[in-house]
Amino acid sequence: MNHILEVQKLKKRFPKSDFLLDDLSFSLPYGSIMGFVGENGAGKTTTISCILNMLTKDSGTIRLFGREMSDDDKEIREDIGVVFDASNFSGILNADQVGKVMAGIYTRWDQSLYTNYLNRFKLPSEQKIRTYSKGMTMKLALASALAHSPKLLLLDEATSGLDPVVRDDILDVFLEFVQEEDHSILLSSHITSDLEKIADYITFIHDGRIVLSEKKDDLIYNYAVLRCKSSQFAKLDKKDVITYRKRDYQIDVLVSDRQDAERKYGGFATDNMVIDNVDIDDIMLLLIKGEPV
Amino acid sequence: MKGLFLDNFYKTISNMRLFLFLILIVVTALLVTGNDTVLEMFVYVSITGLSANAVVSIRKDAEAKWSRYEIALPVTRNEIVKCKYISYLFWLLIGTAVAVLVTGLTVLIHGNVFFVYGSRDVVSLFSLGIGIAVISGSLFIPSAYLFGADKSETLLIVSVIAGFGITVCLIWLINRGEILNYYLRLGLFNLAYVCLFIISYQLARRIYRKKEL
Repeated sequence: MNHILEVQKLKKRFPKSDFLLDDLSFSLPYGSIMGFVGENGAGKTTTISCILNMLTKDSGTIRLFGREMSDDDKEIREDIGVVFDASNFSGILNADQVGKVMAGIYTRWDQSLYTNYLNRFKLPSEQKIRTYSKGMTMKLALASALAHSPKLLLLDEATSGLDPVVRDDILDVFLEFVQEEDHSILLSSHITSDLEKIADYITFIHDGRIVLSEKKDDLIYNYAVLRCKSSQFAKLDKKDVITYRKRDYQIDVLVSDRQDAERKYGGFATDNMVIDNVDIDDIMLLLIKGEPV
Repeated sequence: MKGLFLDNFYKTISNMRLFLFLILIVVTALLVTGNDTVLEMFVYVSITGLSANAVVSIRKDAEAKWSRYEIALPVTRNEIVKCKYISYLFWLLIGTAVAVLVTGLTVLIHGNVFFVYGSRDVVSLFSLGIGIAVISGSLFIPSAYLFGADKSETLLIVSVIAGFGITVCLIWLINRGEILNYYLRLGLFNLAYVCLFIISYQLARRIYRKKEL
């Protein structure tokens, strides 16, 4: 499978803190959306910053479109669109001026496409950005990230702080974007419902480490949570357990093969243990708050 | 790089309103009174002030996280630094043009009571003004990259004061030498701040190349 983005054994340590990106590896195939999930401070922004050369990695390899990107690689950056969690344009500018600035930076800047996005998002082009709402600034950031026809979108918490209506508008744009086979999106977020709607792959990061990277459908349809009592938990084959979390009256156990779990633990032998479907939120909580076997 | 320059231009213009208002008051006072000290101060302040406005945008870049964002755009770090220096020179040129215009207007209204030695005095005054501005900028840009844009106001004040100080020291040093020709001494002063500007640019490039954003 061809990958638009490959991160291998990425390490980044900050001298003034204990935080460490530790041997991070994941790949984003062409034509897909990967949700990059983790709690605040897990390392999502640090990873994206390393991908974009904002931070210097200590070791590891990052390949974009099959090659490593240096500071001089403007060609690769022409194919990337970036949206961070805040507007990156000064509040004194308006959308019209942003368009002129970006037209002077990207060789493939398409002013009519940019204007189309401004119209679609109902963004007044002559109003100062500082008077925009959060949703409007994010839409402007997205219009600017798309108007040079990139192939890869790197979005860092691009939907956080937005109301459901604006989020839905933006998610529609992402889905349109990946209609092209050679387009992909890496979307870091802790709003898992957004990722459930659009992502093809989900990569979980916790404490600077990748704890799980899977196809979303596998997570939704194959993974399950066993709700056990202590006596039931003791009977489980520990090879089946990815992680578990002790609650007040039960232990939640994450397993990767629902059918196998139903076969092995759904019967009388285990006193009809409850086997529940999982959503991304459940998995994230279990991976972060749970204990490995 | 055109886009970076344009972004810098918009930010500089937005910084400038208050400064232009103050300049307007001083120009009016100057044209009415024809005071030679006000003229001298005006030349220094308009050249230094206008060019300083251009680099204060470094703080705006950091506030809007533009400095982080622009790394992801198809521009190199060297181009980002180069753009700051070109913008600085551009506004220095505008500041000089404004100073020349107002000086000319003042002389036209009040007659030449300001420059006893004629063109030699004019060249000296403007060399000094440009020198202070160039030295201040040469100190400010690399230090803003090194110490962070959040300290830019303090750094700018320190840079301008240091710019004055270094200018005085340079003139004192040059005058202590045995060069008798006035224009040669002036040329030496001009060469000194041009060299400082080039060194500053190389230093800023080096600092920014390694900067984590």
